[in-house]
Amino acid sequence: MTRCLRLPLRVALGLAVAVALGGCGRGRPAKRSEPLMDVFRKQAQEEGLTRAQTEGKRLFGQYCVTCHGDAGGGDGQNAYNLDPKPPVFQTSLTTHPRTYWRQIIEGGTASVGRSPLCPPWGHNLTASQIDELVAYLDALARPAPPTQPSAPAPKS
Amino acid sequence: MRTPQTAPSRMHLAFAVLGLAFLGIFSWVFMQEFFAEWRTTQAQFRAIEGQVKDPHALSLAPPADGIRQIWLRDIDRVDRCTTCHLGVDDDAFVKAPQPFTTHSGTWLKTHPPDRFGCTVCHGGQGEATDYRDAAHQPIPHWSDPIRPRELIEANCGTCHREREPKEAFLLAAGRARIAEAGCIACHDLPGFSLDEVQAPRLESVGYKVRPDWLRKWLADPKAYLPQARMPNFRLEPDEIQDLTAFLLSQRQTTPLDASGVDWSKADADHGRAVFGEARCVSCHMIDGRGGTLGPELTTVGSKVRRDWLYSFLEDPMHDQPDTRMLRYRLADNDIRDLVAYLTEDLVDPDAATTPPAVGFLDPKQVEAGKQTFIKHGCFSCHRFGNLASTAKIGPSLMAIGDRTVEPSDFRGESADPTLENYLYLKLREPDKLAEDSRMPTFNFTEQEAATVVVALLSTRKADLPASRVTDAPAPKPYRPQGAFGALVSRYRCLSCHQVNGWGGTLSTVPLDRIGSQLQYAHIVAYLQQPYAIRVSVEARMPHFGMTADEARTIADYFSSVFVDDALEKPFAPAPDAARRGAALYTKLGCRGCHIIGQTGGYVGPDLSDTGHRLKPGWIQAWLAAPEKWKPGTLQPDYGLKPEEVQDLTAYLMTLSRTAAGRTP
Amino acid sequence: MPSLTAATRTVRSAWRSVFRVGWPRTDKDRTAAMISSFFLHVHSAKVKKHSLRASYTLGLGLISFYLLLVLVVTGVALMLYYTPHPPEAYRSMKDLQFVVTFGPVLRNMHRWAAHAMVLVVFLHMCRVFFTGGYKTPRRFNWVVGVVLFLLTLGLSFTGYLLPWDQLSFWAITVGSNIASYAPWIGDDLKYLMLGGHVIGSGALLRFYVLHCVVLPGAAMTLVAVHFFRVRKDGLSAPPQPEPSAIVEAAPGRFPASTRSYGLMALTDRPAQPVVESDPEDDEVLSWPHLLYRELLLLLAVLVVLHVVALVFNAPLEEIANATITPNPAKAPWYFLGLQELVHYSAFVGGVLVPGVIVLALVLIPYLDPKPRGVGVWFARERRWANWTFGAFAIVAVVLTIVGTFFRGPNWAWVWPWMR
Repeated sequence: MTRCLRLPLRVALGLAVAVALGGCGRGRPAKRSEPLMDVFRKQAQEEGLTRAQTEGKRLFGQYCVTCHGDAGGGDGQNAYNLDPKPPVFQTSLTTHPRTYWRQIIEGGTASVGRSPLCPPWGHNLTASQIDELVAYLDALARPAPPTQPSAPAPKS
Repeated sequence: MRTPQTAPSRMHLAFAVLGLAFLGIFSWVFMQEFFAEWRTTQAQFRAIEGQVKDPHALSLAPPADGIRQIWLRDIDRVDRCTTCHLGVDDDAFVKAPQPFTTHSGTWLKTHPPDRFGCTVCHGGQGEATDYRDAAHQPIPHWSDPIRPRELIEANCGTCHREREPKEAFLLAAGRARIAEAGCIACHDLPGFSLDEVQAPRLESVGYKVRPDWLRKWLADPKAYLPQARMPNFRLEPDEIQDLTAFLLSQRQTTPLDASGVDWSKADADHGRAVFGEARCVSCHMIDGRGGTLGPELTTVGSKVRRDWLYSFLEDPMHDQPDTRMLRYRLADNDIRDLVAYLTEDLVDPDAATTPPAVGFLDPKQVEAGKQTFIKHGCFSCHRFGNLASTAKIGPSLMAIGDRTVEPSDFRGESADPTLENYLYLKLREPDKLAEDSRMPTFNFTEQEAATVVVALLSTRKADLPASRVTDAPAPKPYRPQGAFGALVSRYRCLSCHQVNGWGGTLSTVPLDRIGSQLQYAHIVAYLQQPYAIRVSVEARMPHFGMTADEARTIADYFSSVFVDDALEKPFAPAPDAARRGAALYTKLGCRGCHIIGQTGGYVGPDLSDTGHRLKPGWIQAWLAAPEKWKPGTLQPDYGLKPEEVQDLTAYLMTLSRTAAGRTP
Repeated sequence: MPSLTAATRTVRSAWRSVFRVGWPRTDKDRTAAMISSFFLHVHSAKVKKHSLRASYTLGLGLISFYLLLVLVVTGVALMLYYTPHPPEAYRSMKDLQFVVTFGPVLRNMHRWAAHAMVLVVFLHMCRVFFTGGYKTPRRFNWVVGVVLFLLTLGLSFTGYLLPWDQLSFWAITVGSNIASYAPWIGDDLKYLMLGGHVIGSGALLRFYVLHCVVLPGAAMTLVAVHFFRVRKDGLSAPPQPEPSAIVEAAPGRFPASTRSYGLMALTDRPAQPVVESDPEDDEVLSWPHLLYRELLLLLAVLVVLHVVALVFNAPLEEIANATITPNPAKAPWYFLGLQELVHYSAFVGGVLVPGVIVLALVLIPYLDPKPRGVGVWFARERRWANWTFGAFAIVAVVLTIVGTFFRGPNWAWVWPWMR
C-alpha cells in the first residue's frame, strides 16, 4: 500500500521539477550591456541637451553659426562684416524674456526696432522648429560648460 | 462488518472544501476579466478627463468605455494602443500623465492615426491590451518591440526610402554613410547603386604606384590617410606581399609617352602656381586644406611614379575611364612643372626617393596575389576586367532589419543579444563576431556606426503596398552626346554638378535651369575665367583653360536646353522701381550677407555684377520663394510682396562691375 | 390553499417525469436511481470495494475522461473564434489572448488539459499494466485503450498546428518528417497528412478537420466502447483469489465480476444459467460511494485546471515563418523521445521503434494471457512482465525528458540550468 502511494508522489515531484526547469528556461537572463544604446546615452550625457534642444542645436548650426559663432559667442566667420556685431549670447540672452527671442527669430531684429542684419526666419522655419531653437538658446544662455567640440558649420 | 450505505461525513466535508475552492477559482477568473488592466486604465482616464475638460467638452467626447482599435486594412494590422492611450490626439491632455499624454510634435498631423495607427512608427504589439504584451519593453516572441526614441527613425525608413528623409537626421546620416562606405559593393541593399562606388580601376596600377607605398596602404589605408575610403582588410604580411606583386603586375594600358620631357627644366615653384590657379584645391586636400572629391595629395610624390602622373594629367581618362578628374587644357610645360611640384615638394620624408624600376615579378607570387585579391573581394569596388561580374561577396542585406539573432551569434560578447547590438558590434569590429570574417574594418566612430545601424534596421521585407512607400525616383544617368557631351565628359561637369538629380553634390547649383538663371555672356566669360561668386567658399569651379569656342558651345546648350519657361518672363519695371529696391535692400539688411562693391557679408553670393550675371526672371522667382528652389537655404524668405520683389530685382539688375567703374 | 397544493403537485409530477426516483433515501431507491437514469446507468448499482480504493486505480481513467470533457467544451468555445486559414489563424490566437472575454482562460485550459490528457492516458495505461488489468476478460478493452492512446496523441498533434505560430509550425514540420521516414509510403503519408510537401493552408485545414471532427468523433465512439466493456466486465479487475474462476463469458456461465446478467444469454441456453455471486461484504452501493467520488474528482480536476490556466499562459510565439528555422526545432514534447531516437537513426526512431511499440502494446494481452497476479500492483507472479514494461516505460520517459530539457541548438547536449 505505501509502495503504491509513493508513485503519485513521485509523479507530482517530477512534474514540479519539470515546471521549475521550464520556468527557468523562460526567464530573461540578467541585464546585459547595450552597446548601441550606450552610444546615445553617452552622447546625451555629454551634451546635456533635451531632444528639442538637440534639434535646436542642429538648426542653429544650419542657420545661425555663420554669424553668431559655434557657441553663440558672436564670433561667426561673417561676424566681422557686420555692424552692429552679433551679440554674445551667454550674456545677452539673460536680459530678455523668451518671447523676445522668439520674436527676433520669427521677424528678425528689425521687428524689435534694432538693425535689420539678423533676418526674419519665420517663413523658412516652422513654429515647432522655432520652439526648438528657443529651447537651444536656453542651453546657450547657461554658464558655458567645459570646452566641448563644436559642430562643424554646414556646407551652404 | 458491513460498510455503511450512506456517504461518510468526510466525503461531505471534501465536497464542501472542493466546492468552495471551485467557486473561489471561478470568481478569480471573473475578477481577472473585469479588472483587466485596460479597464482600470480607462477608469483612471475618465477621472482625469473630468478634471481637464469642462462639462460641455466632456459631453462631446466619445466615452472611454471598451476596446478601441485602428485597423489598417492594406497592411492588415490592428492597433489597440488607443484603448489606453486615450488622450493621444487631444490637446487637452498635454500635461496629463502617461498613458494619456497628447502626442508630441506635429506627427499626428503628418501621420494621421486612422491611416498609420501606432505600431507602424513605434513598433510594439498593437493587438495587445496590456502594458507588458504591447512590448513597451522587449518581450520574448515579439520581434518588433517599441523602439526607444533614439532608434525610432529606423521605423521611419521602412516607408521613407528616399536617401534623405525629412526630419530623420540619423537615418539620413546613416544612409549617407552607407553610400560613402560603399557597402553596396559587397552587399545587396535596396536604395543604393553600384554607380556610387568610387574606386580606381587597377588594370594598369603597375605603372602607377610605388611598391613601398602600396604595401603601406594595403596594411592599413587609414594609417596613410585618416579619411581614406578604403577600409582595412586586416591582411597578413604574406598576403600583402602577394597582393603587391599581383597589383604591380597589372600593366594593361601603357601610360602616355613621357620620354620627351626634359625634367631638368622643370620648375616646381611654377608648378605650385599652376596648382593654385587651376583650383586643384577644390577637390584635393594638402595638409588638411582642400576638398575631398579627389585623393589627398600631401605625400603624393611618394605614392605615384612621375611618368604615370605626367600621363594622368595629360589625359586622366587614358587608363581611368571612370575617373572624376577633369582633363585640363594645360600646356605640356605647365603639366611638367605641375608634376615636378607634386613629385618633388609633396613627398613623405621617410620614403625612399626613387622607386625600383617597373620589372620582373615572380609569377607564383602574382598568382597567389590574385587569389588573395579574389578572396577578399577587392574586385567588388575596384572593377577589374573579367572578375567584376562575380556575384556579391557579402550576404544580402535586403531584409536585414528582419533578421533574428541568437545569443550564440555574439561569440562571448556580453551584449544584450538584439539585432541592433549585433549590427553595431559587427560594424565596429567585424572580426570579433566571426573568426574568418572577410568584412573589412571601416573604423566607424561610435556615432557613425550608430547611424548606420539605424539605416540598416530600416531595411525590412519589401512587402509594403506601394501606396505606403515614399521614395525619391532614382536619378537617371545623364549622358549628353555630341560636342556638348564631349565637353561635359572632358571637363567632368557631372563630378560636381547635377542634372536631373544625376551627378555630384559638390556644387549646390544644379544645371537643370541654369540657362534661365544666368545670362549668356556671363556663362561664356565665367567658363573661361571662373572667379569666386562666394568669397568664403573654398571649393570653386576649376580654371579649365577652356577655349572661347568651347565656352560658347556650352553656353549655347545651356541657353537652349537647360531653361525653365516659367522664369523667362519679360521684365519691365516701373521707372523708379530701382530706387525703391535700393531702399528695400538697405531696409532688409541684405548687406549682412551679400557684398556689393567692397562692403557686405560673406554668406551669400557677391552681388556686385548681378546686372550682367543673372536673369531678372530668376531673381524674382528666387526672392519670392527661396525654399522652393533650395530647401534649407540660408536665404531668408522675407515674405516679400510681388511689387517689392520687382523693385528689388530692378535694383539688383542695375548692379554692374563696369558701371561701378571696376574691371570685369 | 388548495391551488398552491395543486401547483406543488404539478411541479412535483413534472419533476418526477424527469427524475423518477427522486433523492434516494433508501438502498432500494439508490439502486433504482442508478438503473433508471440514462447517464447514471453507465454504473452498476453496486461496486466492489476494492475498485473504489484510490490507491488502486488512482482515478486515472476517470481523469482522462474528465479532461476529454473539458477539451470538448473549451474546444467548441474556441471554434467560435478560430479561422483555420493562415494568417487569420494566428490573428485569432491574439484576439483570444487580448480581447475575447475569458479568451486566455479558455485557451490555456484547452492547451494544458490536452497536455495533461496525453500524460494521464499514458499513466492510466501503465497503471492497468502494473495491476494486470489487461487480462481476461479485459483483453480486448486493453486494445481499445491502446487505440484511444494513439487517438489522444493524434488529437494533441493535430491541435498543435492550429495556433499557426513558430512553435506549432516547426513542431509539426519535425513531427511530420518523422512520419516520412516510413519505408516506401513515407513521403506519400506525409503528403496525405499535409496536403502538400510543406505545411501551408492546406495542412492547416486538414489538421483542423481532423482535430475538430474526425478524431474527436472516433475518440468519443471508442470511449463509449471502452466504457461499455468496463461496465460489462466490472469496474476494475478484482484481486483474483483462484485463477480457475477466470473464464471468458462461457455460455451460460456469468462470473460475479461481470456485474451483468445478459438476458439474451439466458434464452440462448436451455440449461440453468450460473450466476456466481460474491460475498455481500465485498460490495457497496454505487450511490453514493462511487458517484460521490466521481463528482469529487471532477471538482478537483476542474480546480487544478483553472489554477494552472490562470497561472501559466499557453505558449504563443511569433507567427509561423517558413524562412526562419528555430534552432533546435522540436516536435511536440510527447514525440521528443522519438525525435531523440531519430537523431541517432531516422529509420529506427521514425519507423522501427514506434511500429514495434504499437504492435507490442496491442499484442500484450494475447502474449501474456495467463490470469495470474491480477488486481494488485506489481504482483510477484508477474515480476518479469512488470520489469519489462517498466523498463520500456522508463526508457520512453527518460528519452522524452532528454529531448525536452537536455537538447539545445543543433540537438547538442545542454544542461537545462546552463542555458
